[in-house]
Amino acid sequence: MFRISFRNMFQNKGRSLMIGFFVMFATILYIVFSSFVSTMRSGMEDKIIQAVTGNLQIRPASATDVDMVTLKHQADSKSFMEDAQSKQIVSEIGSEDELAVRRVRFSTILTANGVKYPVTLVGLDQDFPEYKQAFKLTDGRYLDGSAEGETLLTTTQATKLGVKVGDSIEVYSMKLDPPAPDGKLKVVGIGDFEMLSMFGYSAAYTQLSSAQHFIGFEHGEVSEIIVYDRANPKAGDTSQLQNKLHGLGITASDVKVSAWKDMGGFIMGGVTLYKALFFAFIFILLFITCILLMNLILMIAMERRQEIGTLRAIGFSRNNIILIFIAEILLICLFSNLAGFVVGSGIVVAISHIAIHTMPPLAYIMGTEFFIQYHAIQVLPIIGIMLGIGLLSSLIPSFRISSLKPVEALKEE
Amino acid sequence: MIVIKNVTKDYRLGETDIRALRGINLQIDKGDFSTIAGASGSGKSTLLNLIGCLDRPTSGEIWIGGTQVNIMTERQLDQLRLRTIGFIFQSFNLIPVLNVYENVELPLLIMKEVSTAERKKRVNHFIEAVGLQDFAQRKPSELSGGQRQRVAVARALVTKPQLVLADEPTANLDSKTAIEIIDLMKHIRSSENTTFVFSTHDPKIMERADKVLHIEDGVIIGGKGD
Repeated sequence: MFRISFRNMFQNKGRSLMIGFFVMFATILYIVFSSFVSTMRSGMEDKIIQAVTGNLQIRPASATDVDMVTLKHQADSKSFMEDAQSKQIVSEIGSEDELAVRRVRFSTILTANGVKYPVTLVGLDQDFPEYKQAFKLTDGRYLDGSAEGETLLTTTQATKLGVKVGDSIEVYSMKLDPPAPDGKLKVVGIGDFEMLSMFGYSAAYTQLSSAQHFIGFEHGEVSEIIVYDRANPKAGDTSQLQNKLHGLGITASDVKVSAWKDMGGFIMGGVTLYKALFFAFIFILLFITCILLMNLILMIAMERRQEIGTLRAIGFSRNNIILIFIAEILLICLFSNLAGFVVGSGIVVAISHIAIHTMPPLAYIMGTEFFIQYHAIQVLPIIGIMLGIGLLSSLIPSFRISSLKPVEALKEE
Repeated sequence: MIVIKNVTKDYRLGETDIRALRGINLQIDKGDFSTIAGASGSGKSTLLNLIGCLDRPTSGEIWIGGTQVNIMTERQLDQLRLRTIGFIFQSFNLIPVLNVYENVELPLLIMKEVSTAERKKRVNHFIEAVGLQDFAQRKPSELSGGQRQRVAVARALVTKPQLVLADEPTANLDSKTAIEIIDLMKHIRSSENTTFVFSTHDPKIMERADKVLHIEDGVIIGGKGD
């Protein structure tokens, strides 16, 4: 019975090619856009991890559950990890693949030239490369891991404060009540958080000791320990780390362990928003494809009235007709979908080796340079999706045409 | 074989109701080779469509083989058309993408009770019966009009129906081929003991029928052979 479907597909080449073109085009667009958005999402996640959250965070049990990017977070001298405990954890859990670093992070105010600017001051305890991958310098240098009293500002912060590399800024100290300027930091570098600046993330890096001074941790206390998983940059499973800490006699009553996905705050929301926009685009694309296909299939169905009438006359049921018709459309969709998959994947794989340089505003979401990533597993669903679209598009026309009385279908136009 | 009682059929054409059949009564016996004769628009195709269960009457009763068919469900009618009735159309109505063998085989593909071996046997038998054994692999587009109608005859007979209906089967053929097709149908009627009903307006074709029913303006006005 499906012989008719198969033969019709080849017999009506023009129509089949037209349907195939739409399906193939939609498949290619899906693969290219999906890879683009996936690259963007992955890039953003990388930057959040590198600049802000690390893969995992170990914080005092008393720390608030607020995420790590909001300025509302007010770390204070009551929420800290002791110097000895934090050092013990860092040395015990650090390995070749896992870097554990101590960090002080709190919201404060920078002031210069009579201007005040709120920031999250982040104290880094050693010269590690991860933050440099996310913070791209436009002027100056990165922090000297063995020095203190230095800071890196974003271009927005530097502009607002009216400072340049080599200038000093005053920092409000949390140990004073009310907080007031209590020392200076020298601006050694100005740059931007790649892909994060557009979200208004406003942090200023400094050395750990300087941050400890301004928050009032006089005995080496830290706000948190950040763990970078260098073997698996997107790792976010807390259980293994919790087990390790348990082995050190550190329990949930002492510290809380969280993952980057939970601590990325509104930036993660931004990533989700981009994903949602992508899916909305894909939905519109597929909807249009569906409507176009439906019209084409309806035209084919009307052209085949006589054939369908004949089949009904010789005893084929409505269901037989629907099956023959849908099988033909699904065959076309399958072949063109596979062709689109190969072509789309080929395009993405081909350009994945080329560094794509971007300008604002694309640079804000993709970075100034990126390589598009291709993951076959990620784009594989398009085969099922397009078959679903083919099925959906052919249902109404095939039901309509099969519902005609045999005598009506047999009428010559 | 066929009993029709007071059948009427109305059509709506725009705002106008048209009565295509106006109280038809007729009886066709098993094995008859009958024709419904009449001018274009007289109602003969409408009558054949009703007998073939391609359409339903506005009123009246249609009985085929002792079963009242005008009250049957769509599904029952599908089965009736598949197993009891064979159709031959004026425009041949072959499936263009299938070859002769496949066109003849088509109705058997949905008769689950017919085995593959039986299907092959029947298809070859009827292709031979209509004299197209050398054309089995040809597509309809590669055949003449007469050959196409022979394929249609074989397709109509392959399910071994009790009744074969042919709506102006010779209208698209030259007179020599037309007579050949009618003679072929008549010959098969005898060998397969099948009832044939066909419509025509060609007096030369009417002559070859055992029974002629004249229809005019939707009414049977007389006949020959009753």
